[in-house]
Amino acid sequence: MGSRHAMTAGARARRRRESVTGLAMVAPAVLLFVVFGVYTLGYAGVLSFYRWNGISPDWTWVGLGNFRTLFFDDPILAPLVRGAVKNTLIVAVALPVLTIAISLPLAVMLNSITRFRALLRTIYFLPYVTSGIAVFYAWRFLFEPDGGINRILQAAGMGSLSQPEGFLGNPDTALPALIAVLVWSNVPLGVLIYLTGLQTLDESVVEASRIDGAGPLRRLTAITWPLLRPVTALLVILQIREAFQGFQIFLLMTEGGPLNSTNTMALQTYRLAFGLGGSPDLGYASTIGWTLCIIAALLAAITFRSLRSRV
Amino acid sequence: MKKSRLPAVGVMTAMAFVSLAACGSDSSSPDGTSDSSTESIDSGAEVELDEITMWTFKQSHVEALEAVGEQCSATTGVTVAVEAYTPDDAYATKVRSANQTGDLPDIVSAHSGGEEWQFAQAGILTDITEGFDDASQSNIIPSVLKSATLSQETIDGSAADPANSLEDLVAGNWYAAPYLAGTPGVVFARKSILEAAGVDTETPPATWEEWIAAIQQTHQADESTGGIVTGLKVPETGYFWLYRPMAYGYLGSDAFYSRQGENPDPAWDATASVESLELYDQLTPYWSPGVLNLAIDEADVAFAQGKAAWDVGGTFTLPFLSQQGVDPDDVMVFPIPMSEAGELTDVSFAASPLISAGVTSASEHPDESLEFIKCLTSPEGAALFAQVAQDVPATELGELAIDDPLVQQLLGVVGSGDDAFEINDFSADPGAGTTGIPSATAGELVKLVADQTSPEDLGATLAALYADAWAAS
Repeated sequence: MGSRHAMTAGARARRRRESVTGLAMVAPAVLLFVVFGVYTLGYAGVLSFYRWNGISPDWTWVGLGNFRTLFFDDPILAPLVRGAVKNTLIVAVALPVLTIAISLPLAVMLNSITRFRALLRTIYFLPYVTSGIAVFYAWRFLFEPDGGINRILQAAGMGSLSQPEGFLGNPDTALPALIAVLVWSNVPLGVLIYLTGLQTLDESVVEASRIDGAGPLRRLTAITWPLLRPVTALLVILQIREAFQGFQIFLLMTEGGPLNSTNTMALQTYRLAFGLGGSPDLGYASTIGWTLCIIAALLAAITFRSLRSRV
Repeated sequence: MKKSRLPAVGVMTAMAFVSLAACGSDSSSPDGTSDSSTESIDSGAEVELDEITMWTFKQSHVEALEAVGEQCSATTGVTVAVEAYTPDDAYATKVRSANQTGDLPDIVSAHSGGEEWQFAQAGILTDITEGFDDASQSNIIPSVLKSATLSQETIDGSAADPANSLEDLVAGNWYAAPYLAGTPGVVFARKSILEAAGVDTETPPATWEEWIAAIQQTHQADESTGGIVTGLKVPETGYFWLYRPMAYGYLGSDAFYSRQGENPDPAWDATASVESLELYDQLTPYWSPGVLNLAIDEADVAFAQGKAAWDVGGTFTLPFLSQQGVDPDDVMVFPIPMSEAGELTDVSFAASPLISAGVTSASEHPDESLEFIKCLTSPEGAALFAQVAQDVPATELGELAIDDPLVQQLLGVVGSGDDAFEINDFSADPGAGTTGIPSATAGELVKLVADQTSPEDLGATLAALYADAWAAS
């Protein structure tokens, strides 16, 4: 009895030490998250109820006025913000759909080949590791009136598809062009995630369907796709995050133009915060930032719910 | 086990501190100019004088300001180290964060007619009224001085926007002194392209109609290089720099300002207004390809590279073109010409204040800093600044000569009479120009360039926009 009690006390002490050690290990990460995550989120949340130009010592309380002004009341800002919401939602839908539509078949194909597999995977992953400012500017040159894409179209006898103003100079083609660049840079990630998912599939299920006479397309839609729902959900969440948060491509390639056709909520937040096209207002910027956060969270929740595994 | 855990904990803790330190402020400028300004001091003679620091957002002015600082050191008793932070939003962020951390320099530059007052309201700039006295003010070009003066109307108009109110400032007081002036509405033309198209390069077009005909000629000769360009990715360029000067001449002064007022006469959708929009629409076929995706600098670069025959900018465009290697002999400079069918056929553009300098509340050398600003705005200081920066100073140069022929042309573009048109005067707009109405108007006007609207529809849209803006103000 005494020895059992001593063992229990010793086990408790050991567990306590392990807990303290574990907490000490995660404390720096938690601290960083609290400072740069929770604090900044809370700060921005509070600021969304005020007006502040960033240099004045005082904030001006407006309550829900910022939301009303930005989305409904202001004859200048409200149309701009609503347009940004529309463009953001277009990107948030198009990006995951196109990325998945291209990534999954590509991953299935890469998974089924045996020769040059490593080389092909490396090539297909290159766009993801080369994304950034340099790549965005390279794409800009390609989209110019005398850029590579127009030249290729004209050389291929498809001059009617070329854009005399350049793809980024035409309000009708600017957003689709940027979506194409986003898809190009995100497909490698999708391929990688799907390849990982395909490795975890039970081969016997796939083999059984093959024996039953299911063709490649049927196996893809009836076996592979349902089994990879959780992976797809993850990929959709990542693409939605990219669509809502990523503004570098919109800033660097078009700055929201032409005619605000590529203005997104994240870019509009940046414009309001730094006074591009008007006076800076961090209250307005925080308002749009939080709205963006809420919309993104709702979309993520809907996605998880609809794509959760039913297998 | 215990021994193996402690090093791991130590490593984790060290990594946390390193990552936090890496997130600390970086005082170097985005373009690395802080080192160059330090070197410029270090490479000089042994420093015996105190040094004051000045921030600007124009890289092309650093050398000029330091040259003036050198010249003025005999009277100011200090040398000046200038640091440039670009682009403008990076500069604004730099000033904001420095204000929070107490790292402001002795002098900051600010966009005139608004930003300097916001800085003053925030306590960044001090009141220099006593030092920037009548004698100093008398050096400034009258139209510049008038526009740079804080009026009660501006203070009252600022109340419409609670985040940018100027309620603590005093009308007539000075919080910064203008040292750079200029005007938009200046056309630069490549003589080589014009001559190849058979356009006369000895005499600039005298009327809007003549200019359109000349653009048509260069465009017909070569569509890819004969067009007109300006930074329409920023829609304000088309509105402020091109349409407003032309419309002022077409409508006449009274009608032009009345149209922006609460009881417009004529309204934006009235015949005369629509006709002015039709005149602007005459440019639509001749814009360079991809112009809607060209920012201001990109448009100037395209012009410098010979991709456009005509570039619309301002007096401030010249330093950038010179930096891009444009041959001064290949450039013709003239103001936006007026329509021969308009109310006014001979309009000069008043110099407006563009950049002002003020003494910060954090300065440890406020007297010396103010003395430098007074020296910069004196005729001698301004002449040196103009010569080195190739830009138009806010000071009347009088008898002082500028050797640079292009700067002389720019000075010739700027008018000084009472009838001269102030392109950047938005006092007739809702909120006296402090609201976003000028930018919104620009955003609608650029739809003409994109062929997304007609002059009639645009007139109706702008009439509604101004009505709504006045109702909301």
